[in-house]
Amino acid sequence: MKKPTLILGIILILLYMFAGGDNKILYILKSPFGIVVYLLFSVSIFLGIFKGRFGIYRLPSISLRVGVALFMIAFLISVHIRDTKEVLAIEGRKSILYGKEIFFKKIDVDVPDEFFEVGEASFTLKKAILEAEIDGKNLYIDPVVPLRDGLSYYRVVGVGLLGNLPYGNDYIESPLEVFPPGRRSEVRLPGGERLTINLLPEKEFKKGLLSGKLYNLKKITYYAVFKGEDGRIIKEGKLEGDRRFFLNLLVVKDPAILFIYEGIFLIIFGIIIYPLRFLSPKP
Amino acid sequence: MLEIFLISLWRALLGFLIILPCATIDRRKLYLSVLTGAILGLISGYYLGVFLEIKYLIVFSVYYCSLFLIGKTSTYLRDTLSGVFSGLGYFFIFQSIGALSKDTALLKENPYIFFISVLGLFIGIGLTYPIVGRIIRALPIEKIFSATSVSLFLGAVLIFIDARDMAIVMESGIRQFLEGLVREVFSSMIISPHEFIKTPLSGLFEFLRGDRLSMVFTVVILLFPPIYILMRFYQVPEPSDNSKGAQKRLRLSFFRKDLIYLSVSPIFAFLSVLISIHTANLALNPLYEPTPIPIKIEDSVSMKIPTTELIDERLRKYIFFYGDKKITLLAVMRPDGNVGLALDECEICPPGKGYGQGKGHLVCIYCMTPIPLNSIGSPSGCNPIPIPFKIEEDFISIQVDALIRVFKASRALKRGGHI
Repeated sequence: MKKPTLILGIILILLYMFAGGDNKILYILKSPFGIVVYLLFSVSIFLGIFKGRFGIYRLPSISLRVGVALFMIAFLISVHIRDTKEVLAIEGRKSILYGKEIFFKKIDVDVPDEFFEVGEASFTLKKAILEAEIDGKNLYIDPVVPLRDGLSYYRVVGVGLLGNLPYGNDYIESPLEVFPPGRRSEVRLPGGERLTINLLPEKEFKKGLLSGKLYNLKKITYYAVFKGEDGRIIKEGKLEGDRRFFLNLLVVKDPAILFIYEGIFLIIFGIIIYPLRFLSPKP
Repeated sequence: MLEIFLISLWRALLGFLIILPCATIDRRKLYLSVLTGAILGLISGYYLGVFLEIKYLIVFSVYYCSLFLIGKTSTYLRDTLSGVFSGLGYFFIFQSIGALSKDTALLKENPYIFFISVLGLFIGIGLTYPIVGRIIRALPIEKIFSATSVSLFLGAVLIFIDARDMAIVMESGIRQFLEGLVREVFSSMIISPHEFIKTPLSGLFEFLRGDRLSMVFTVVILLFPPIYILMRFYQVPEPSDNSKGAQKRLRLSFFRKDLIYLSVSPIFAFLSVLISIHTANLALNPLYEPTPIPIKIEDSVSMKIPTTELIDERLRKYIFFYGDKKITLLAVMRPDGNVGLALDECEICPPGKGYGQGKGHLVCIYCMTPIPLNSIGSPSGCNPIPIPFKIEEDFISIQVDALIRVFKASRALKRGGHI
């Protein structure tokens, strides 16, 4: 490795070691000195491709260097210009984002009709698809791969139940983060009161050391605790609910994402073809 | 007081490793460097404490400085580095002694503890050079130590004597870095894993931020300098000239002998850093060995263990007294929700050491074989010998005669056989 690259790398390591805050990487990427060192390091890695003659045996090294430099620079740009929004997607509703109208046509989630929780068994969903119409285009958004539409990227990042909560003489519709079953969701009500709510198991089993809970997810029942502003319990008890889901939709506007993906791809490609270097004829 | 004196003395004697590369430099300069370092270390440790981050940074720098000194053959550089690093080495060794003597002085309310540690230091240093000096002079120090070797050797000695937990700190730092990096990279690619929605590469995400990968990186980073330096030493081509026959063979034998001398330092560094890594690994993954407690006997027929004692999935050990013999049982809640109950011994290893609990497995302390928790209760090989039992409501019920029968059969085994 050339000396400038090594020295810049050591400076970056030292910066990381002495950086403050919870997220040291972002701290470096947002400080002026950190940005300068980071950019110089990326450029010095890139300039390494001009050392020596070009040839097929240098392809792995070139691919790795270009990939790393591209990724690092795109990552830096992304950190500074990315705009992220999280939207609640409810079937049949509309939302306006970045000047575009989004109509949430259909939510398709493979939540089972019942869930039996035993020992270390985990609640896992394989499907959470949102069918949406954005500017006349029909799109299917899922949690697997982010969907690109121009400079915006969409991805499903959460699932929950939509609850109709009694409040006074009326009802309030509220998203409840009650998955996996057993989790408590806290909702702030208009008057300042708090509601702690979780799914109530239909049955509980115990045999020796084993214990299990059966949740009926077709006929939803919650256990709700209403608390006043001072935390005092006003009322608690069972609450019937509907099997209506909402999805958390992540919308990201970032022109640098494509280059991040390209950089990663070049790095992986360079690693795969790295053995090619050892086939080069010895001088 | 005797304890602090002996610790100071022992540390000063261990310091002979630091003096080893210094045999070629002037004795007076060496003593000056060592004593200055030791006294400054004692005083700073006593009044200011130990600055671990600075210590690790300097030890790290001394160790990795060796990579930048490859090929530097200047004896002046070698001697300067020996003198400076030996002073530094004694500074750090005695900084910890200074801090320890302060804590001891406060605890025992004895202000003379500091002077006792100084006495131990002087006697140790005073004894070291005359005793070791003669041995050192008999060694071809000039051939063993070059500038690179001095830096590598002294760095490894400092890691071994005074910074063995540097590997733990390094592993923790690397793990934090990998966690942060992986999280940011996945987030930048908008493929962050979700708690319960199956997402691509979630397994890779967990692997990349796990402690196994960080330990691998720690090992690679720490062992890179001695391995690389050794490779560079052996890359030097053999001398080729016009000499033939016996003269050529003589030149080659001298060359190879010199290579062997040069290899001493990287090999020592490799072994001492390896021990440091092993200590770190043990500290990060300690074996949990509970103290056996007497088992409650309901009547002469059966005994019971409450199942609630096993809910935390920690290993429990119990003792049953059978005449003048002690039968040790172990019980653990397996990940599949069933109970594993067995004797605290296996069919193969000599009884006595028993089992400890690691992460997700038991470990036979005699042979250090890991046993998956889900296999406890199944008889085979290094598995603890199972004991028949029943679950009755909230208790594990064990028949006394069944336990004694299994115990007798185990004792009758010529280890290596089967029940």
